[in-house]
Amino acid sequence: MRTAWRAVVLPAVAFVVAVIVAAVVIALSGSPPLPALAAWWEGAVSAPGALPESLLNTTPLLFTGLAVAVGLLAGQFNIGVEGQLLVGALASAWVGFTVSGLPAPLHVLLALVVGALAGAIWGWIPGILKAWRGAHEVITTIMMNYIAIYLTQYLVTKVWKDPNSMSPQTPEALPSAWLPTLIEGTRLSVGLVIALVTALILWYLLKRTVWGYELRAVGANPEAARAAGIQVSRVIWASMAISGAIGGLAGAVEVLGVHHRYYDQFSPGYGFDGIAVALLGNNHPLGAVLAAFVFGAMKNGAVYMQSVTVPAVPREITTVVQAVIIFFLAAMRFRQRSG
Amino acid sequence: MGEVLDIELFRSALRLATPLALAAMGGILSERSGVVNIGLEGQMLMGAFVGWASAVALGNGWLGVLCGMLAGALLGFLHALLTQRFRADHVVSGMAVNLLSAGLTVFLLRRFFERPPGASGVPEWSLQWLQPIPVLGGLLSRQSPFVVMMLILPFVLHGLLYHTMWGLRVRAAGESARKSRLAGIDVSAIRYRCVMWSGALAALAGTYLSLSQLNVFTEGMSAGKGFIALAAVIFGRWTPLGATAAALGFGFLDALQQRLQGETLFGVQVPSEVLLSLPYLLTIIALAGLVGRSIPPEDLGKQEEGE
Amino acid sequence: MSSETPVVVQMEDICKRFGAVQANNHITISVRQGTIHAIVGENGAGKTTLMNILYGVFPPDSGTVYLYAQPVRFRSPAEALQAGVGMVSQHYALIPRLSVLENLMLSGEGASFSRLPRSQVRARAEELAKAIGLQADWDAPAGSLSVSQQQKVEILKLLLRDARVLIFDEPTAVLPPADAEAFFALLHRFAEEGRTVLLVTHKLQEVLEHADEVTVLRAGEVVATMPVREKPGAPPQVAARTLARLIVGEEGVLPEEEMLPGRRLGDQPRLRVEGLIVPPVRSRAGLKGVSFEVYPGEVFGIAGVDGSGQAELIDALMGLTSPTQGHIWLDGEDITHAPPAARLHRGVRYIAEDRHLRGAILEWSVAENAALGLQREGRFGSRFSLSFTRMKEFAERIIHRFAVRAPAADAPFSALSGGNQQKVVVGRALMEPPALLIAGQPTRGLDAASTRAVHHAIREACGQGACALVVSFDLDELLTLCDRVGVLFDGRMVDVVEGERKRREEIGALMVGAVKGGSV
Repeated sequence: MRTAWRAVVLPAVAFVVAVIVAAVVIALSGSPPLPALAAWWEGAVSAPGALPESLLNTTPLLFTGLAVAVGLLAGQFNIGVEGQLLVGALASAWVGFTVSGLPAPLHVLLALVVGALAGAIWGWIPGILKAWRGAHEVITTIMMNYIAIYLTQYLVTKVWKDPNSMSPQTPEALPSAWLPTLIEGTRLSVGLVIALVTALILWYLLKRTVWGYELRAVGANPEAARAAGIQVSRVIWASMAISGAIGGLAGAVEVLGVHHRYYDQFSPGYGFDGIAVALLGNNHPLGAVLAAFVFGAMKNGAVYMQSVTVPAVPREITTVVQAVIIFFLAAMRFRQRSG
Repeated sequence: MGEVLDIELFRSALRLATPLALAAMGGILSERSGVVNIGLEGQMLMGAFVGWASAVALGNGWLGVLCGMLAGALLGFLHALLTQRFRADHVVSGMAVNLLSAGLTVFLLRRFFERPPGASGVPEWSLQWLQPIPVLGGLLSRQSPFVVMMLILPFVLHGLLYHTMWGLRVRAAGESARKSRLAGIDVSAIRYRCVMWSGALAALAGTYLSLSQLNVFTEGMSAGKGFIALAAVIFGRWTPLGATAAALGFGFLDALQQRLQGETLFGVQVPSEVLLSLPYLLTIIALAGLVGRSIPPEDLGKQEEGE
Repeated sequence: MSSETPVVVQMEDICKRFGAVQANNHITISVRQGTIHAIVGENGAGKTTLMNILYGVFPPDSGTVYLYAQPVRFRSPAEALQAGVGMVSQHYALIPRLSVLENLMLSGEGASFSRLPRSQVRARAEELAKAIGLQADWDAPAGSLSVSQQQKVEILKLLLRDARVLIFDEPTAVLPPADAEAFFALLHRFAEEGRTVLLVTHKLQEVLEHADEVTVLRAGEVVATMPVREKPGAPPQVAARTLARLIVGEEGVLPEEEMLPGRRLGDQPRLRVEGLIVPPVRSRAGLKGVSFEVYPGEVFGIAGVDGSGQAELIDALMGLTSPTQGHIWLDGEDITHAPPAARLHRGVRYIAEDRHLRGAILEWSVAENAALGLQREGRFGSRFSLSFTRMKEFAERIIHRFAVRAPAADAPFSALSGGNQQKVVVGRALMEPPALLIAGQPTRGLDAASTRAVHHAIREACGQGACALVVSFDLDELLTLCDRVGVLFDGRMVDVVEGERKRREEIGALMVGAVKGGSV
């Protein structure tokens, strides 16, 4: 019963509180709150075309949320998902426009794998530094984010720049590397399905395999895990690598499913949103699915809300909601190692 | 290469290092008392916004600075409340502070400032009496008061931390809250104060960004400087003098990078991105213990079980 | 002392509750000036809680504390110190990274931004240090001092504030006997000076040798208060057995209960350790060439002052550290550098010194904890298909066999009491007779009944062919449970005693190197 409270009720309460706070902020800023909230809802789910767009937003958030959750379950706070996402995106874009002659399913697969691999490396580095030298992963992953920003910026503006364009972007990926659309007439790709499948696989791995048992043990009590014969160092860098791989996948799916190329600064901070998703989802893969949808829909709805409210309510209100949720959950002693 | 290393470069380095060093002083205060403050970035951003907005509203740059610092202190209070009263995880709370600032600043900017006006900034000081001194004269005779603050503050903080009872109590609180309480120290009060000052200092750094050169606020103005400040704290081994030295180093690298745009160094064109990444790379190297051990205060970030 | 000696400390009708536990239940005690007043009782009897109340660490739920016949209510130890009451607690309160001088200055009342009174404190400290025989580098980090030195610095802290009431909680727990003697000499000096000493201890010998009066606590209540001797220096007028009986109560077990002696079940040792060397770190001695053997059916004890190498020995046997030299053989196989998983596979089982730290995961269920260490054995399913149901069944078998009081096998581990938690940890290790059982302080913090249960379980497992290594600071435990006891001193196994030589005085002497051991 206690676990049900923690897993479902608490996050739900957090969400409601956050929305109330948002309403207050909106009201204080001079816009009538109730119409704003109504527009928010409309833009999120009920308006025509809203739902697919919300689902589109959900996809990268689910990936990044899963990435952060896996890390947290192993006791590692991976704030570097943003960087892992960037390198994964660029790597997959590169496979997309460089490799030719591969038929469609293989090309996409290769691009996805390479993207995940790039992210895995980006996550593995802070992981191994933590495992071997005790370097705190919070700082190292933040640093890796900035290195990733500059690395990708360099590569996309100087090395892999699209010669036919002034913008800092790569050439477009070959059609054989595009993720097929899920719903006709929308931008929603099968990337969503890939994300859901990833969540299911992760859930099974964590719950029903020795690997998952040991990972959770390390996250809960590394000393006891060590005494139980678990190779704690290996779990640390492996979990960071897996976390990074999922982050890389997030970027790869964005590139291959939505933009079909990599352009500089394409990510509005999905990696950081992943933290909120993981926490709201109680670090549980299935919770992350719900949480990702909630945030994805909110973001979508906020764009609509901004366009129809008078005076316009800036869509950044969603970020405020996210922050309040995190504050609330953190205040309720929401230990990050639950799930 | 020689023509690059002129006085202008060092003046530039000082300017670029200033927000880093000021925020780093805040970081040191907080962490020394035992509270991890990842929210420096958000506090800096909020300080930049509130400082600028207040300067616009009140017509005075210094008043803007004051208001900015208050906003930073408020965010610091929030962080302290969460970590001390609610025993929240320090990193999670810090990230929430960053998120809140990022969202709120843009929200307020877009809502209330269609076309953001320039504010009355904080003008440079003219310290003519420094002119005759070689090197220092060129660097400081005409400088922003913030830069002067940055140079004086570490010494003040050093004296406070290591030579006063207050400083001893702060350091004790950071090493062991339990033992400090036994010694009659109000650990909670110390941490609240230190974290609020930490936010205020980070916000001060922010006001430097928005009220010193361009006198305007732009979205995401802090651009990760709060994290570099954290890096400076680690690199400087949690000491005020060390962190300022590290910040000066990072500022120098930034200045160098700006100067070297398109120029060659030893015959090779160094991409600006390499220089820009250097502070982050160096921090990772420092954390990996490749340059001596990184020893934070013992009780940093620890959660205590009930008493 | 006569009954005219004024009462300095009077604690009247003190009650204190922590959650479900009534730690202090209407306790009344008075302490006269210039006496050494001992407070004895088992773990959990409430001694430390009572002293913490006196020292201002927390207030009582009800009841009053009187100091010099005036009611006082200290809101913090700092206030207590100001009133002249000081305590040296069991876990030293020195902050290791700050210098000794800084630690001394810490409890001062200086205004916030006043300069640190370095020279004044240093001068006074040096003066007082001479009186108590302390030599230390004032600017060295406090953590670099030896255990005895640290204790003296703690005492110095109290003397600097001229504490007239001194409380010591288990002061000799980690002191070698020689230092303990010096410590008691100091206590007697304090008493002669007119200071009042409260001594919390579980060591009856100390009480009989040094205390003037004794109060016995049991389960949060005062069971008895009596004089120990007529005047300082006189022989004690109370017997150890009397006190012991009061401590454990009627239904309890006397500490010196005899256990069934074990039998060696074979002449090939199961565990052979030879020339084990682990480098010393800080104040821990490391291992300087330890060799011994343990035979099947045997319980082998390891005695020694804390820091003599026990922790290193356990870690080396478990595979958590690699010795720089030497060998470990288990059933004839060299496992010196084998990882913990390999040793678990070969039947090494571990009862951790601190179950919260190393033995279990508190947030998990009992069932998942029961599988800890055994998750790769195959009994819970394959690598890719772990079965929670099977873990539950295993946990249920443990609960049944070891009479663990738990709501259910899938209940959270934290819902169990300490004793039952330990039973789960023990049960996990002993469900099948291991090849080698390593037990570190297996009954620390447990009540008499749980202790007995754990001892029986270990004996039983050995009766089926296992061999056991028991590391303990509790000499009684070693004497009653173990067949042979090896004594570690300064990283060496100085002797192995058995039979007649297996006695408290013998082991105690070996523990401090007062006696040169045999040919080990």
